Parts: sequence; structure tokens; C-alpha cells
Amino acid sequence: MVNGERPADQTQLLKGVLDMAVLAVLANGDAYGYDVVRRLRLGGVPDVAEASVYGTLRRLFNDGHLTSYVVPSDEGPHRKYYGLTPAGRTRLNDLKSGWTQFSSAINLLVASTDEGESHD
Amino acid sequence: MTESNESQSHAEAFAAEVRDAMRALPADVVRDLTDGLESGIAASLADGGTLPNATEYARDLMRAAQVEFPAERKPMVAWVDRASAAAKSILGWFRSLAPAWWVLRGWVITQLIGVMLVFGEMHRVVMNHWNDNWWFYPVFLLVTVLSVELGRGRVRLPRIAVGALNLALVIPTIFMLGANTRQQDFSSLQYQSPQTSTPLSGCVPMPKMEGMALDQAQAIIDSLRSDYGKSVGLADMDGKPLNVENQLPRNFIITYQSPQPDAYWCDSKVTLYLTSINSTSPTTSMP
Repeated sequence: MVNGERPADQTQLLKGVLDMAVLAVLANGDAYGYDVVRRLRLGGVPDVAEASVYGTLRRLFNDGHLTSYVVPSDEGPHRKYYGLTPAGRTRLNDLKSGWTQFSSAINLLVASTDEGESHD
Repeated sequence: MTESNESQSHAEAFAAEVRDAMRALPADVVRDLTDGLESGIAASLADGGTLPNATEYARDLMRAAQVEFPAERKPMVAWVDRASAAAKSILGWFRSLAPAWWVLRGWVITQLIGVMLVFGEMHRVVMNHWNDNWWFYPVFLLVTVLSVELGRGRVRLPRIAVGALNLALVIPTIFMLGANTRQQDFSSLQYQSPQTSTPLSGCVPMPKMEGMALDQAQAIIDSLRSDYGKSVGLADMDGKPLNVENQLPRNFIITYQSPQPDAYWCDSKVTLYLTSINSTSPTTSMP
């Protein structure tokens, strides 16, 4: 990141891994929709769109990867909390495995360009 | 208005806009996608966030949830979706009637058991005759419980067997419901006057029996039974059956009859009021 700019394609990169990111957040504890957004932003994904997170939560819930329950809030309307189901935990492990292999391969590719530059 | 209330008010207005942007979707999908949206938006505003464009927000939400935007669908696909939704709705309505069918199925099967074991005549297949065979009630209860348990899946049969059973019961059900309705019509018209009304099929003119001894009346009833094929019996004013041979002395005369003479008689019972011919003052006597 240079001069405070973020990598331009982070939004595009995030699309492919948002499921895994959301599941990873919930693996650390149940959370309501905006809390997931907040934790993602604090975790280094500042540009994540709230609507994308909410839509992802609904899809993962409908697919059986998440469970949900409602908690009344003193500050306003009720909050719907989400947590991982066993199927969600399995899904997260699968995604992590795929991501590790993929990111290792990409890192190697990117590292090889650094070596090429140093030889020049 | 406090800051929190103001955020809440803005969040509700924004959520309404988002829902409006999704109005082409089925209501349950919109409800599912936007459940809890207000609290998320209010929390975002409280964190210093700003409200995005509601239409873009709705599209992001749908895209992430992998819900297709209706306008992007091909017309044929949209038509098939609508037809499918309508078919599901109709099917759902019929499924909601399933418990009533389970009970009706128990009733029809009990009637069929009655036909096979007792009556042997389909025209006697009506609930009114169950009083003559008390054991129909426990049988009905047992069969209905089995039918309901079968419907609820607690008694397991192959689906094809259940389908065949339901199909086989369709015609008996229609017949029996029709037969029961006709019987109800007859029993509500016991005193139909021949001068003012046309007699119903199955009804016969009632002979005069007042002034007769009970055994004479019984002979008339027996004659009607053989002439018209009606299954009949005598009953007192409380509806209890009378037995001429075993219960009543012959020194009683009939002082009143129901149905009245010349009225059309459609029910299976004749009610007679009896008076002792030995007593000085008329008394109504019952067994």
C-alpha cells in the first residue's frame, strides 16, 4: 500500500474468498451481521461491502452452514446472531485447505518474479 | 430526536427503499434477505458510516446471496417460475387438507367394513345406522387412528401402496357422502303431506294405526316392510325400540302415531303412544 492507497483489486479478490472470510470470523465466535462486517474491517479488509456480507450470511445460512438466533437489543431493533454449524466448520476447513494451496502457488509465482528482477 | 433515534429512523427509511428495490422478488425472499437490516444499517450509521444507494445495495445483497434479479431473467424462465409458484401454492393448499382426508378415510373404511360384515347393502351405508351396531364406534376410532398415523408417516407403507389405497377409496367416498346426504334429506321430512308436496323417492304413505292394538300395528309394519323393502321398527316416544312379543301386553291400544296417517314416512322408525284399555283414565304407557 502506497500513500494510504489500498490495492485496487482488493474488492475483486475478496469476492472469491468472502465465504471463507465470513466463516473464519464466525469460527472465532457468534456475531450479528454488522459485527461480522466490523470484525472483517478490523481484520484488514476495510473495503468489504456490508450488503455483500449480509447476502453471504443469508446464503450460508440457507445452505446449512450457519445457525441463527435473535437477541433483543437495547439500542434498537432485534439482532440476528449467526454461528457455525458442524457443516459450516467442515466447509471452512475445505475452503482453508484450498486457499492454502492456491495462495502458496500464487506466492511462489510472485516470488519468482522477484528473483528474476534481482538477476537482471 | 436523539442521535440513536435519528440513526434508527434513517435506517428504517433506507431499509424500506432497499425492500422497494427488491419488489419484483417474492415477498418471502425479500423478507429473508432483509431480516434484521435495520439494526445493521443503524449500527453502521452509529459507526460513522454513510448510506449508500439503496438500489445498488439491494443488488449487492442479492448478488452475494445468489438471488437472481427478476429483470435479468428470460421471459420464459420467469413464466415457468410463476407457474411453478402457483402450482406449489395450490399443492400446499391441498396438503393442508390432508388431516381431514385422513379422518374421512377412516370413516369410509369403517363403512366398507360394515357393508362387508353386517349390511350387505350399499344403501344402508350411513352413519345413522351405527346406533344399531355399537361396535362401529370403536372400530371407527381404531381405523381412524391408523389412518391418521399412516398420514403422519408413523405407520409406514410403501408410497405406491398408500397411493393405491387412496385411489381405491375415491369412488366409495363419493358414493357414501352422497348416500349420507340423501339419508339426511329423508329424515328431515318425516311429516311431508301428500297434498302439498311431492313424495321423495324411498318414502311411503303412512297407514292409520291409531285405535289399533300394538300387534295389529306390527302386522301393518311387517306388511310395509315386505311391500316396500323398508327396514322398519317400532319405537316409543323416547326413541326406544318396542318389542311386541316380549315386552308389551296386548291390552294396549295406540292413541297417537308418528308419522301421522297419510303423511309420507321416510325414516326407519315409527313412534307410537300407547294407552291401557283397562284403565279408566287414559295413560300413556311406555315399556
